[in-house]
Amino acid sequence: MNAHPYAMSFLLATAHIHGPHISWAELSPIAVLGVGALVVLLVGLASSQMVRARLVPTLTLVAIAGAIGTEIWRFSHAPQTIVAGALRIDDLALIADLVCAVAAVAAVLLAWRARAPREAGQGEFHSLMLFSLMGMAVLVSAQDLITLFLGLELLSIPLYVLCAAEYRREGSLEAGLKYLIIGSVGSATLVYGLALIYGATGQTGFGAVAHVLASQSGGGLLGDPLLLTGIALVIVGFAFKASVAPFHQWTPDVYEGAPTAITAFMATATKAAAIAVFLRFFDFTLTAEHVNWAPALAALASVTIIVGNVGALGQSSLKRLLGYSGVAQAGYMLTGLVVGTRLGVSATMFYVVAYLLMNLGAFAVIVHQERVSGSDRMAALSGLGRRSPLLAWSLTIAMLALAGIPGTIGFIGKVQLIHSLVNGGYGWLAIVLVVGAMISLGYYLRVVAAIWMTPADARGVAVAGAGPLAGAPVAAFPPIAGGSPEADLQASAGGGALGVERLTGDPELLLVAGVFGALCIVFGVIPGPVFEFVAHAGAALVGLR
Amino acid sequence: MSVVMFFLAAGAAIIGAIGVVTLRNPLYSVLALVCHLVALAALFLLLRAEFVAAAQVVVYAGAVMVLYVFVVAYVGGGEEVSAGSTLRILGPLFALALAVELFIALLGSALSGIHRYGAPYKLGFGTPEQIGRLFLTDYLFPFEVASLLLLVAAIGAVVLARRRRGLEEGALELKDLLAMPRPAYTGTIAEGVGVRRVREQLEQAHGGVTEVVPAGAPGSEEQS
Amino acid sequence: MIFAHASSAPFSLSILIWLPLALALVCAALPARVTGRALAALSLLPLALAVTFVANFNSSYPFPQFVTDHSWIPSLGIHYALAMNGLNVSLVLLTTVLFTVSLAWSALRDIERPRLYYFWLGLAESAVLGAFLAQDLILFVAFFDLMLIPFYFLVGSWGSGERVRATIKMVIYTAVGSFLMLAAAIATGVIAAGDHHTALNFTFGALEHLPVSRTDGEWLFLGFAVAFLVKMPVVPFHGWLADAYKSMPIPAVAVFSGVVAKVASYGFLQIVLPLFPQASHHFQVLMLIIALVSILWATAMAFTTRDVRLVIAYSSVAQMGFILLGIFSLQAPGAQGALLQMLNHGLVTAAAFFIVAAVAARSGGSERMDDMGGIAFRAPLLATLFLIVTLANLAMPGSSNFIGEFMILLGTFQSHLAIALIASLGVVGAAFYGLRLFIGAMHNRVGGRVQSFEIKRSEAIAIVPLCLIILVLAFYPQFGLSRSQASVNLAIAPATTSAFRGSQSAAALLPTFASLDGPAGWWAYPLLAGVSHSLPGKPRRIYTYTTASSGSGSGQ
Repeated sequence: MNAHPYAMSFLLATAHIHGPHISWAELSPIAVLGVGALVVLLVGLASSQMVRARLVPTLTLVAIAGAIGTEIWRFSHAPQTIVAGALRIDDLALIADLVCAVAAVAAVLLAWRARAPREAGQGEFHSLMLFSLMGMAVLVSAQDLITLFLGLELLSIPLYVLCAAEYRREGSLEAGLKYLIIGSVGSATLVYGLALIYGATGQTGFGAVAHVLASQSGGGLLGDPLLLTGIALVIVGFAFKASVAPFHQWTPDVYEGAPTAITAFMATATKAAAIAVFLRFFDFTLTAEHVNWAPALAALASVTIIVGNVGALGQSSLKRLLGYSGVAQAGYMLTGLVVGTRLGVSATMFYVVAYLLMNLGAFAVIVHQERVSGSDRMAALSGLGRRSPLLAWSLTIAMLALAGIPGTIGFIGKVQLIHSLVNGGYGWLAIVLVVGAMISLGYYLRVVAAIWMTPADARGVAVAGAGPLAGAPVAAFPPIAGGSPEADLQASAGGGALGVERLTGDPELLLVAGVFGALCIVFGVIPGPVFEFVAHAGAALVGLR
Repeated sequence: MSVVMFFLAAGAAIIGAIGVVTLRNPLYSVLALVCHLVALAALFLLLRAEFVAAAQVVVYAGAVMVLYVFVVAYVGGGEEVSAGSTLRILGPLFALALAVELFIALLGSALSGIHRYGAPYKLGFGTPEQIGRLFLTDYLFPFEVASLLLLVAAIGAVVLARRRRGLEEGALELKDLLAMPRPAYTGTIAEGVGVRRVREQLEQAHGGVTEVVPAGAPGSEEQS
Repeated sequence: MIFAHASSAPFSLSILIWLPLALALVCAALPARVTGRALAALSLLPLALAVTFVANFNSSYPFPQFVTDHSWIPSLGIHYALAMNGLNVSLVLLTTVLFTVSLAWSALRDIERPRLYYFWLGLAESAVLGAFLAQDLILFVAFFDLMLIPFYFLVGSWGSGERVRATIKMVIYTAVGSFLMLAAAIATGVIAAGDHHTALNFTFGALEHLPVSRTDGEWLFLGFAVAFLVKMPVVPFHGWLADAYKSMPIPAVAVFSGVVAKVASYGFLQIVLPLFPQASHHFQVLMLIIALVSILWATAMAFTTRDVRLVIAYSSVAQMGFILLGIFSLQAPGAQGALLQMLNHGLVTAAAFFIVAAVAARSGGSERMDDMGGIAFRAPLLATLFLIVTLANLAMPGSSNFIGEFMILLGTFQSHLAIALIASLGVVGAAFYGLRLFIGAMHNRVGGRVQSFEIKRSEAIAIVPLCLIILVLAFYPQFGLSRSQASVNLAIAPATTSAFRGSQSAAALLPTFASLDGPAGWWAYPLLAGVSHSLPGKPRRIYTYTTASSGSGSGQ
């Protein structure tokens, strides 16, 4: 702090203030989102309903597309620390940005006909989403404790509001409130931890903190209780955001209550951003303290994997199930962070990409289910294989990929994580990961069974929507092999390969579900491009082996 | 002298914070918060951050708290929802554990600073001018982000609090209005820690309307 | 290059693997009515392709042939490596035969949602072929797991009874093993590369040159063993078997029991013994005891159950026990017998399941022995076929199964006499329950709901070809033996020869490999008789056997 060049000259009233140099090229991904959010907010004030309902989401997509464009433009340039050390735009940040931006595109599409934007106001809804996305971009490129905290808040506060966007629905309001309270606890814990780290090292810049810790004089800090407490509190703060057990308890409730488009956005983008900042903060800033935080994070990761997977077993709501599954997947991603190697960073980012692809397809199907049957109960999926084969296949692929079945990107992701774990000497954590994957089959396969293995029942939809019966065990339906002949007749009347061309459902949902389902398979068979993509992330964190 | 002031202010801050949590009357709670904030301002003064101390008193203890008092006075205290007995025991236990951990950390290192003078004081430190200068130089980006944060908070408040005139098209469909019933005692943190007492309370409160099968409980749904 | 004396084929093995899936996708585009028949007819193509490969196979050459090797995931050193060797050559042929037969059987019946059904069968065939032909550890695991998915759907959607429950149970059981195997497979590559400071490489050939340490080898062995034992299954790991076999549609259970379970026993020969020779030797007795318990328990269960399908299911558990016994006798005759028995049992069990379906069709759809009886009088041809299958199943002298079991027991006698003696009880038991099943179903009092009729075209299309092959094999068991002999000896040599078990001496031998088998030194063990003299200590019999038979160059 005392390196301030104007420390003594401030008394001169004529002192000329030199603002820091702002390199707009590097800042562009963030700036585009900020400008986009403001434009969308203003356009949302238009009186024409057509403008509001169509132009606003389109403009939002344009803004995100602009951000994606600038991110690709800056990709694999030399890393730069910009705006007086506040941000560092490197490939890790850009990859995380891209993941978040893709999630945002999908979320905007999922919200296209949803109730939430109509109720919250198109302009407000979409600009909040853009602000949140901007917060993610700030967070993942933060190079300073203060920027880090502000990025986190800019990410979170819009989400608190968005969760409650379906204001009239009790669950939505509850989700928003719950997320606000628990998220605030997380933020408070984090900021306390950051303050302690600042207190211990006397620095706010990541580079400066890392330098102090690595330097000779900082050697005394290795076991420093103040620093360790700070690190512990930071872990807790991040753990709230990334829904790492035992700080995950808001996750299923909020995921279930929030509008599904927002759930999809939270589940993928927030997690990606949280994991990316986890990576940067621990594998770069605190890498000298690896020996101290790695055991704690390894323990957290194993608890998370087990708790998430076991928690998901009993769920009957798909959104809750994906919430718990997201907890478990956060545990998988943490394992790659624990080893603290470039390999681990790449594996984690690969899994982040995989997680994005696997989840968005599934959420698109859930949105469709909710529109058709008004419920996200697993039982309501019954007969989806006949009603809407494309969606059924997407959800099937998503579930199989999440479970880590070969031929999907989830398998490759797990292979890479295990590889990095064994390579980094954390063989036992690999076993925990594998055990978690085994448990997870117990619920992922139940979803797939609900799609394909129950007869299409005309009552299925009505029953599912009617409340108390929705939870009725699917086994209650008569187990007729292959379903009713009538349904088959209809299926064959539709004609075509596997019935895929019978498209039912809103086009944007089909698009999201189809694209992400297909990508899960494509990148599962040809993972090379993704590997090369995420390898940049490992290289971005200097100081790792 | 400064040590005495420090302990006075710190003690007042802690007492105020405890008061916020424990006092049952919301109005007293708010007043305890004011006490806490003023004590914090005193601590800032000890750190020679006069501007921050003044801002603390004027903005938080003054403006924000007045708003709180108005809200509390208008809305009034709602009925107390008491947590289950398990939570009532677990909560303080966890708080105690956290406090012990923090104390270990603080006693281990930070208190060693009590005998020293701390960071050197530089003339002009903490003046509005210097703070403003830092905002426009070293911390330009966080400053701008913070301003956006305020904008976001304003938008959020408008979204949540504005008067609604109904939806634009098609109004609400029937299925939207149907609250999606879900098993009692899922949507609570109690589910996570397994407090069944909450569930019973809910049942009593709602006259047993809600489903009683906990979704998280094993065996609540058969193999499908 | 280094495969100068390996024969070449006009096609790539990739075509063989992916053709069934491609055909299934093409047929799915046809009208639903003709999907099945078209696919059944087209499935002769992969069969013909497999026959071509087998015909071009050079029996005297023990190393992988028709090698395809591309880098799949370069950053992880994972290769898309396929090859045929003596271990998988007959199993590949068996796979195509059984799938063709199953497709034909299905095509003559009304299947609901036919496109999906045939798609899953096509995917299953591709996955099984891939698992047999994969020469890269990760690729093998991928195919091994992928095999599960089609059967998950086949049981869940087209099964009977508690199908959803059964299929989830099956998948979870087998996935427990295969996920552990995934971790072990990755660990094998990483540890091997780390110990020997080489680049990461998961191909079998490369890993055989990079022995892992004794302690690492033991836990890695267990990771693989659990996966294979669950999949086979043998006794402590068989919990999923009864439900799954009971629920599976007949064509699915025929191929599952016939070839999918064989992937596991094949895995022991192809992967576990060569890569973890020390651990294999270390756990030999444990595995033998598991095999023994499996044989005895399954025999007892086959005695007591009244369900015809379960009799076949438990008999196959007993047979898998024999196969395990043969492999872990760590003797050449035992391992060769095991491989022959995989082929025999695959044919016999598939035929038996089709016959069960035929019998059940005559007894009012019931698969309980109490509802059967007296079927033979009006269906003499069916009864004859059933008798052939039964006699083969109980390893009647003269059948190929007899030779297989004989060799297995011979090998076990050579290594562990007591275990072999007890295991012989299983052979006797098989005769009892096999004949009990045949007599109970075909003769005895006519069952209450039995309406017998002669074998129909839709049944014969599956049963007759299988019985013919069983008969041919009975006269010509060398078909299975001759092609595998050299490779089997090579596979078990490290575990059998004490000189190889010490990693020190194995490492000392490494430099000689390159000169023996070309510059790349792929897939090689010292084959020249001269090398055996340089081995510290006296090699056991099997080792000299290997070198002698390869040295002569003629093989069998």
